[in-house]
Amino acid sequence: MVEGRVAGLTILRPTGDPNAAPNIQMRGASSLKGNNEPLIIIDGIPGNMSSLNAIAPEDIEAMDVLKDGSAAAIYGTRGNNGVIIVTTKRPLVGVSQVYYSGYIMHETIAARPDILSAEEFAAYGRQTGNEEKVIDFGGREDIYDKLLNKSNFTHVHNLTATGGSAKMNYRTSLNYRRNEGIAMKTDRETINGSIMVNHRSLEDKLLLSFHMSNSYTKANYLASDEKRTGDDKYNDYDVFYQATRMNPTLPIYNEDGSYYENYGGYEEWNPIAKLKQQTRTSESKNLLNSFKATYEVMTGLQVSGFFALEKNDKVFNYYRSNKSYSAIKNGDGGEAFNRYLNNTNKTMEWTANYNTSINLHNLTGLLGYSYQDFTEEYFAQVNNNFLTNAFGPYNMEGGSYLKQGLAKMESHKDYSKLIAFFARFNYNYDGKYMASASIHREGSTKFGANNKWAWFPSVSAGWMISREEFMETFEALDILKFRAGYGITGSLPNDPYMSLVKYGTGAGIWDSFNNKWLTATYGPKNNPNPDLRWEKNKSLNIGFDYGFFNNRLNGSLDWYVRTTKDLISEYTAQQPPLIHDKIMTNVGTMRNTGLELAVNAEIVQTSNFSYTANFTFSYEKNKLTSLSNEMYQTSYEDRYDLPSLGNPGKAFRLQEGHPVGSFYGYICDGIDSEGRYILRDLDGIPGLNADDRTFIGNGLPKYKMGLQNTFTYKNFDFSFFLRGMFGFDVLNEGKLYFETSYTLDDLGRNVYKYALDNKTTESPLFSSYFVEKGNFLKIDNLTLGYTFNFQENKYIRNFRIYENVTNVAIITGYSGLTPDVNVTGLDAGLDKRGMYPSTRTFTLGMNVGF
Amino acid sequence: MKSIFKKSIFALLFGATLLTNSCMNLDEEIFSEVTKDNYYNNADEVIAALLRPWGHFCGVMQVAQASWSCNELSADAVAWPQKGVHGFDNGDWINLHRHQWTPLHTQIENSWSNLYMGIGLVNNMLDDLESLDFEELHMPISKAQAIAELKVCRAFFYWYVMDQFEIAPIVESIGDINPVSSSRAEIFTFIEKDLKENVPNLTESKTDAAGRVNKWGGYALLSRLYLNAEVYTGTPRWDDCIAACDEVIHNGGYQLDVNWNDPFKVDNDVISTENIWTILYDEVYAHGMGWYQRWLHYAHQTGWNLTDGPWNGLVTQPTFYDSFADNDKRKTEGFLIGLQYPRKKDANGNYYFDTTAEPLKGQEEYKEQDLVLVNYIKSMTEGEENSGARSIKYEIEEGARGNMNNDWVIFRLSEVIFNKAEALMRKNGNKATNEAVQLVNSVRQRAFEDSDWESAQYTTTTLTMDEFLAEKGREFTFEGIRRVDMIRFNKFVTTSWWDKEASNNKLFEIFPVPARVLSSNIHISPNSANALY
Repeated sequence: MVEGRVAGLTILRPTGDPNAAPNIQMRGASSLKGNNEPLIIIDGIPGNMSSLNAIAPEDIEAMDVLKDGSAAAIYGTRGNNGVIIVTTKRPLVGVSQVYYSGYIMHETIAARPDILSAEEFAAYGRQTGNEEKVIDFGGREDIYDKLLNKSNFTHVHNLTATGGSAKMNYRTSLNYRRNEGIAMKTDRETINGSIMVNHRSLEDKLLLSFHMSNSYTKANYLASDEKRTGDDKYNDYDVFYQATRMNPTLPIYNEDGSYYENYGGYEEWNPIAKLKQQTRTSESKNLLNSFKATYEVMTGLQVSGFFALEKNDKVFNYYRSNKSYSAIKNGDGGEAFNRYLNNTNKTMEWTANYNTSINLHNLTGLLGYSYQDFTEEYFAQVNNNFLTNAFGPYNMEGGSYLKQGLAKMESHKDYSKLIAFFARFNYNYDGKYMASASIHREGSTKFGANNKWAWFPSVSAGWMISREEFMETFEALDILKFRAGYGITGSLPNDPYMSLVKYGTGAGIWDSFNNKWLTATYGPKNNPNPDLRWEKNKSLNIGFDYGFFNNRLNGSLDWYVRTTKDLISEYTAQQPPLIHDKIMTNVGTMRNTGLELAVNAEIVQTSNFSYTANFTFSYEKNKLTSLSNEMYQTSYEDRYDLPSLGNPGKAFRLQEGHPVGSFYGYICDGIDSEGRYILRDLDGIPGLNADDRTFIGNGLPKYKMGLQNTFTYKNFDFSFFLRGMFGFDVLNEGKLYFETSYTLDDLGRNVYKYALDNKTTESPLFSSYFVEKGNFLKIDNLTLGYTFNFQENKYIRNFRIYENVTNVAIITGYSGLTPDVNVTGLDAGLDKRGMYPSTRTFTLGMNVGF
Repeated sequence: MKSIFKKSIFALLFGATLLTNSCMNLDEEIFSEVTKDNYYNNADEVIAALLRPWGHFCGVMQVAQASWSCNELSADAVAWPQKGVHGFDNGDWINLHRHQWTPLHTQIENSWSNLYMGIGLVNNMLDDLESLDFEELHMPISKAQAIAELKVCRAFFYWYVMDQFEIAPIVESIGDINPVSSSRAEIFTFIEKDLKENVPNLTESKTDAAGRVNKWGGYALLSRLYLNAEVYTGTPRWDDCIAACDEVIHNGGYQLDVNWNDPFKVDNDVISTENIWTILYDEVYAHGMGWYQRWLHYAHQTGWNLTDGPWNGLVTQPTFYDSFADNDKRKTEGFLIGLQYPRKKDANGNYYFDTTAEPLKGQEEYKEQDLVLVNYIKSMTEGEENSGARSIKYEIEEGARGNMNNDWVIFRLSEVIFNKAEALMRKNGNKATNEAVQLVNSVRQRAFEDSDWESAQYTTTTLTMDEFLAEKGREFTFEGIRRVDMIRFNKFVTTSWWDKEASNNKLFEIFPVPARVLSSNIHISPNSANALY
């Protein structure tokens, strides 16, 4: 949608997994424990990325992005990470129209790991005389290939009807999408219906708007042991990792047709079997409903009340067959798991808005109150050891673990509130000089008793320079506007109860008083922190909007600084006297600065041909300026455990004075003649230890750019999009595990083909050898369309067909699978070894208006 | 009129919402948590809280927990070498073995953290207890006994702190922010005082306080404290040690078990007559007894029909394994070595190795080949999957889960007997007395067949101090006190073993105060070992 088109807004969908949500971030991460996602407002209802699940993309009219502190101050602290305002299509007054749009899509592999084939693997074993370790089991299939659904097919349909009069108008739409992923047994199917009605009465003074958007989704997730969904960290693509790492000569089937499994080795399970013997499915409903009443009390004064209810629920079912590898190895007879999640978010807002004009002075004042509460509840149960697989996850009682006291169940409920009082004033003189100021008094239940409420002010000013008399000589210049704004917003942690000392369950123990086992003891679960308070974000934004040559060349330039104070993070607590060694408290500061440029140019405009280019460019710099104060000191925190083999340690270090996403490890000066890493000794002490590690790269791109090129020729339109990120590093996890011939010669597992040439012979150890420059330029979204001419037609208003290809080509020096990885959040720049394959899509679609 | 009426309606509605409490109230509403304010309503709730420090005790005192690891993996009996790609674990185990730790070492950090968390939980409970009326709540024990048990539990944690870290703060409340450190002698005095005041209030029953501590466990702790008094304070306290031992030996009503490994059987809570202070574990209700997962090889999962997969971690050091006589039952029955066969159960319920079946197979360096456990291990970094003799001291039942049912032994009669024997020898100018020989032999005898006992028993000439230390090592393998004993005998930094050269630096007899502790509280003092870094 808006990927790469708005400078400073990063939206990435790093994998082709239809069930993976995109990663979205504006202007750099500003929080360690809270959410770094921008606020998404859908038709006035505040929500987040998952609220978008309730509406269909075809229903979106516009997405406006508010980036700086003062603009976001309108929305209070929820707008701390920027605001994306999504407006769905409004009914058109007086016109009855029906639209249909639809497309079909197919995905192919763009990049997959280049590992040894079964034949090459077996040949290598014979050549090197090492058939004891490099065992030839006789199979010759392409196992990775068998995981793919080469005949995947996606189709999407949308039907909209709109009509009415000035007094009452409506818009209703129905949307169906079925998305099949490139991996077998992975798909997502959604039906969405929405209706919007606007009704005027009482001499047109009262406007009532009703809006309902509901969707129902069924999803089949890629088989894995992960029982949670909905967050990037729960996307587990282990079957792809296994297909890459396993001995390729392992057969898939036994002679009798059952799955071949090798129980003797270390985790040598059959990935095709796992795919077929495990199911992860979910059904969810997303309801987004709102009602707004606006009344014009007198000229210029409007009061309105707005009520919204967002309700999401999801049932997730997981089943692992009693014939699966884990079932046989652990003797657990298969596993069934159900989880039900229910989310209810309520919003209520009252505002009074007054505007007036005296001569050229225009004044607007707004007073308001808003209330939001969030309830999340879930329960889950798991049972094992089923006689038959026929039930799947739908007969929980059937597992014998329940009677043995080994089944598990849990339930949980969280609740929090966010309340705000706010006022805002806007002034403009003749559209030439503008100023505005706002103040929010916001409070949340999530903070300590002394700090629930806080003030959040903001001011901004604008000067339309182009309207000044002295500018009228510059004929080419149409618009030149200068903007400056400063605002303070706040950020909330995700956990709603951090400031309380909670008594929770500890280990079970023998209760000799009652002569039985006590399943749970009770004691304080966390250290007290009654002073927990808002994270505050202060941002300054200065920018220009410009337009030349009749606005044929226009755009903007912005410079910003965002400082986050009182960063909430986990610190080492004083132990003794406190019980726990960690405490969540406000201490650190982080700083993001950057520059954003947008240039839109209608380069060629003739009657038959046009070429428009939209260019965006951003420069971002992040620094964790401090992680300490007098009371709490931590100068660094290590993150992200690299997975086993062995224990390569953590990949990132968050340290004062450095940006987030910094890689920390040994420096490697190359490979010696025997295939060993030449690691630099930094501390002068022989041998490898913690002091030989240092900062070896960073996963945050310094520069991001996007260039959208659109050509039209008569009724044809052709466009393509260039997207690039520069000045960052990517951790090539695959190289860490698959480039060393140790894995092949000593452990008998598969490696990349080029490992045979490079001859690294050591076991995985994290060093700069595996951190590569990630700079890339991608050609994406190539579209060719044709609009039929139906101007005279009574029935059809317009008709366009188009064809689109994504991920066309990528220009990069990076040697791994793809450098276009997730660069948002704290763990940026990871090309994980168990990655969903990189895909290319081909789409054919049409839009018809009746 | 009409418009004013309408305006008023809106104004009223606006104001009304503001006045509604829920629209302004930001107190947390909790559903899945309890706080102190809505807890302690009845005896059951108090009991569950009273048992919380003990629940923590269950989680941090046993095999492979940080405190145990620091005491055992730094000594000469057990090690966790790197085997191929497995077990490097950031160099943690290698550094413990070679005494190359720093104040950043994870196990040292965790040991400090586990111990002080236990102390904090006890302090918090003692604080909560003050406002509770035991009679009103119909509690099954007296407040004095509850307080006594908690203080003895806390004394045990403090003993560990003093033994491992020398200089550390004494805190009695979680509100004591910025505590300063006390010297080793001061901590010793504090522990001694708490024990002497509270041990008499503990129950004498062996079952009433199961899972917690009784009077005899308290005396056993005192005996260990006094045995090491010279190391902690510079002043020996042998007579006090003997007095504490005698309390247990004469008044406790305990008896040595018939078999050397009865204290470690699956049902040791029922059959053992010598276990005094144990942690009760259960595969369903009280997790944490992960003995076999640390010691056994991956192939033992199917070979012994075990529910959860072993991790192939711990091994017996070659020099230590060789220190056992070949006819010592603690060697023949207590370790796995050589060609590994599947283990089965016969008709009488006894375990045996089925040598007619296919031997177990390796999975890494010896993939698909017979698994033969070998005593020889090249070094801490060059182990292989079959390195080392593996301890099966704690009985491993068929179908055992990763969380085993065996109770973990903290104190048993044998240790009290050894403590008394040692104190007697120390008083006797470091030479064996008849009584000392008798005491040691009473424990050692069950490890030998009657036919071998003649030559295996000690006499006043053969029981030298060095031999005493060696025998203590063999009897109390992997129970968590090897380092303590070696320091007392001045062997910990002065001798070499397997992959460890003697450092001859007394500062390695204590662990440095962890760096993160020093940086979180400027009033805490570094100890003598911190000077090395």
